[in-house]
Amino acid sequence: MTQPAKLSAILRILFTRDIRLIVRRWGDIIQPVVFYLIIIILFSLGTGADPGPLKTIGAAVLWVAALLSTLLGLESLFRSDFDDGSLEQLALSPHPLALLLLTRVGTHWIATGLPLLLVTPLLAELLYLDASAISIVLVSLLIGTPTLTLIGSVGAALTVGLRRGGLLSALIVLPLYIPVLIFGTAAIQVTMAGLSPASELYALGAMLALAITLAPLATGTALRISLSA
Amino acid sequence: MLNSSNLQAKLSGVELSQILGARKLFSNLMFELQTGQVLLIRGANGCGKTSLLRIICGLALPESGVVLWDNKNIHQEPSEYRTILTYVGHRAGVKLDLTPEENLQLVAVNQAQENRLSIKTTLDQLGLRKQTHLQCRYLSQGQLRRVALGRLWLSGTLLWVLDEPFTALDDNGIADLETLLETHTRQGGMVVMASHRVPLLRDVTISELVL
Repeated sequence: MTQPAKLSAILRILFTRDIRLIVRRWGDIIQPVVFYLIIIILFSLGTGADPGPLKTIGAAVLWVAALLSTLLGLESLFRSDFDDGSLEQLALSPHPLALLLLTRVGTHWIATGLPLLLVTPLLAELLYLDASAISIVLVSLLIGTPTLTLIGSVGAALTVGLRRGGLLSALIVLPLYIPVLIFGTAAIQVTMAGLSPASELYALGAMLALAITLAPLATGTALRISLSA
Repeated sequence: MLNSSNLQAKLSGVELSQILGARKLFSNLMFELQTGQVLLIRGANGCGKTSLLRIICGLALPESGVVLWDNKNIHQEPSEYRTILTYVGHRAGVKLDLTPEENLQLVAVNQAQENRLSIKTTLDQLGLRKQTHLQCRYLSQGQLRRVALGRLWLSGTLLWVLDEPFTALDDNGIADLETLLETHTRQGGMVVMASHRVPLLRDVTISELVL
């Protein structure tokens, strides 16, 4: 019997392949980060010259924008793979599907989540966030956005076989985003109040650990269900 | 190419039925396939050929009945079954933003190292030498089909499940594929294919299953 190649080699090839696809389709990939920029700019324009309201809700605006732009990016996570049959091939691989999907979700986060972190320092000024809070904003996004992508991958996998699955996926996933939203905004608000955000960040970290271990399994099962229809 | 330990393998379907919506696609279907044989699935458009192939791959579940590999349900040890299986479906799994070479990399690494033809040789045999570094979106339908079928040239797997493999291929392509299928079955490989065309294979048992 043929021995399948090493798992690490497969994962490396899958990773470089996904990164290549991202680079070649950058037009699709930058949409979420542009969306994120626009939401925040609209908020700061909409609240006028008074810094008061934005100072109170700035953290929430930032997180809701991050959450929505993650949702927007989810549509491209499995769609093209499903349409061109790559997903079938992935599901027929002798290797654990969960690990292959974790790699896929990881590269997707690099394309859609990481850019949010890069532009956030520019936006903090618009939202009147304190300079001292910016590092905590970034840390909370660094822990929180991968969690959002991982949870979202389950919804995306469940709805990839449906013709208009985007909205349904949002309805499934958004309620699950609530804990991340609560602790993410709390971490920023607590810091701006001069307290330590450690407990909020630990809670976000725990959620990430849980999502990394469980979400790929659920995503794999959801994909097999979508493919069997 | 293929290891002799598997030369007694057997694929069989027992009382397979499938329903699509309210329509019965097929019922109580039986088949058996030994090493070195080809199973040709024929039937009119929409009679469930692709559904049957997806059931054989384990991608879809039948309404009733089982597919057995070596007398064991394929869903019992799915990852073991997947190591001997190569499926080339309608939607070929070819990424238009990647070059033929990049498309085949993932396939190549899935197979045993010693059996492996290099990707370069494969592309030569597929007649895609000039297109090695061209993104697949610039290829014709027939060339895309060749890229998709390239996974067969690279594969060291025992069981090939092919859905209309001759579609869009020119005469040369068809001849090349027939030669490959012939070599594969002579070495003890097994092929399940849905096709409207009966492949010309010398000294190979082709059993037909009409849906």
